[in-house]
Amino acid sequence: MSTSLHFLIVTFIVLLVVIALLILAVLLYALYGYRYFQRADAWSEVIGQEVVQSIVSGEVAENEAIDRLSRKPSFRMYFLEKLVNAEGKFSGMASNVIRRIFSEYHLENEALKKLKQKKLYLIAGGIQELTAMRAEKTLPEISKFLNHSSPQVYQEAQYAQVTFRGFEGLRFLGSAKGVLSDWQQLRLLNSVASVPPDGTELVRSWLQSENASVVIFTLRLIRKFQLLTIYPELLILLGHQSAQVRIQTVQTLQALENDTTLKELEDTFLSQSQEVQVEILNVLKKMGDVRAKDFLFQQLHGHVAPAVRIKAAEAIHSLGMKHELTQITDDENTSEELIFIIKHALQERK
Amino acid sequence: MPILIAEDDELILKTIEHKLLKEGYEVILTRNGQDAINTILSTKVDIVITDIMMPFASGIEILSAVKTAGKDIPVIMLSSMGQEEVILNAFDLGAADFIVKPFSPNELMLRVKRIAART
Repeated sequence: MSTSLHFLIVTFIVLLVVIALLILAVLLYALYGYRYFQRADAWSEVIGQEVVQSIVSGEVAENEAIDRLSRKPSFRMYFLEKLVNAEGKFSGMASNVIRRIFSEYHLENEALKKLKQKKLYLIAGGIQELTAMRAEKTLPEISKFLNHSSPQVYQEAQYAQVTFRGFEGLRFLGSAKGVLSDWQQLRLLNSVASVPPDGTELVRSWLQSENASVVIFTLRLIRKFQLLTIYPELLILLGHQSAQVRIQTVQTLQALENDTTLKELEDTFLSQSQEVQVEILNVLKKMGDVRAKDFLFQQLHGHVAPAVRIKAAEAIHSLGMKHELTQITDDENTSEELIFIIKHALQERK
Repeated sequence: MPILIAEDDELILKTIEHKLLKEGYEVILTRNGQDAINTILSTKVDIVITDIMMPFASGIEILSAVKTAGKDIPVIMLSSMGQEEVILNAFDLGAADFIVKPFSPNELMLRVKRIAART
């Protein structure tokens, strides 16, 4: 009896100690959090003053508090984060001044430390910070991540190349293995301001990439900069194994349209899958070339897929041939299906 | 010439404030839309610089309040990328000018000076 009572008392005391320790741990954690936020608030104030004073004066302002605090690694990380955030709010001279603060305090060292971390978001974040601050001298370090296994990381490294070097920064396309998302392609396209005259050879080589997303990006680049001399290479891409590449090729042919484009699109039509055929008809609709009339009527009457026939009817209508389409629907020998297709196409046009 | 700034981002607010002070303007700071409206209706304000996205009342509501009160105060709107429809709406309501963020404080000063010269 006395043994079990003794055991109960000991258990109770142990439980009390554990609970007390837990409460203590929670209190210490809360205290740490409170002190962190208090410190962060104070730091934020100091950094804000430095940024504002520098923007207003147009040059990096002397700040003793920053000089003193910037010896602390935790402050430097916080400083970096705040500067990158501030840079995103301004443009012009203000943005340049913020970058000068970054380089004055050598905060690229903090961003570079992130590139050595294992967590992907930290590596990507570090590259983003170096890119935002235009730390071009760190480009060789960033380049090591161009063929990283994580899209989050390699896409930031690609964007950095183009941000720093424009068209020249696109050279990574020659060896890019990962997929370039549509969003990434848009970002890269927006960052390229021009293609140098000797750049077309590089562009041609990217069209031969085994990475379909690289080919698609290159086609978009060709459209953006109207690289007319590359037109013959586009015709070869009409036989590419990826339907998406062929769709983009059709759009690019239209963007670089010449006297032979119509015939080339008509000639390839039957060898293409239905989604590419629909794209060809979309393009013919945009081109508005009356020479396509016979071809379009042929597809309207003879194609097996209703979706293609509807597109053909729409393209015919865009040529100003609504009357001819109405004549077909009024003809009593016309099948119900064809009448429905034409009416549907005309309805779409209203 | 008192200029009211309505902006909930402290860094932007302080930057504009110090730029205007350096140029010799008098500055009134507000950090939410409702405070801005109350101040405009109760104090002499010659120009308003307001962010479009604001707590309690948006920049558009500030602009409407100015117009409804019959006050002839030029309002410069600060907007973010992709707010084209809101900007058009602001112009329909009579906004004097707008600046897209990220923005150049120097460019904002030029626009303020131009509007101040007309006022």
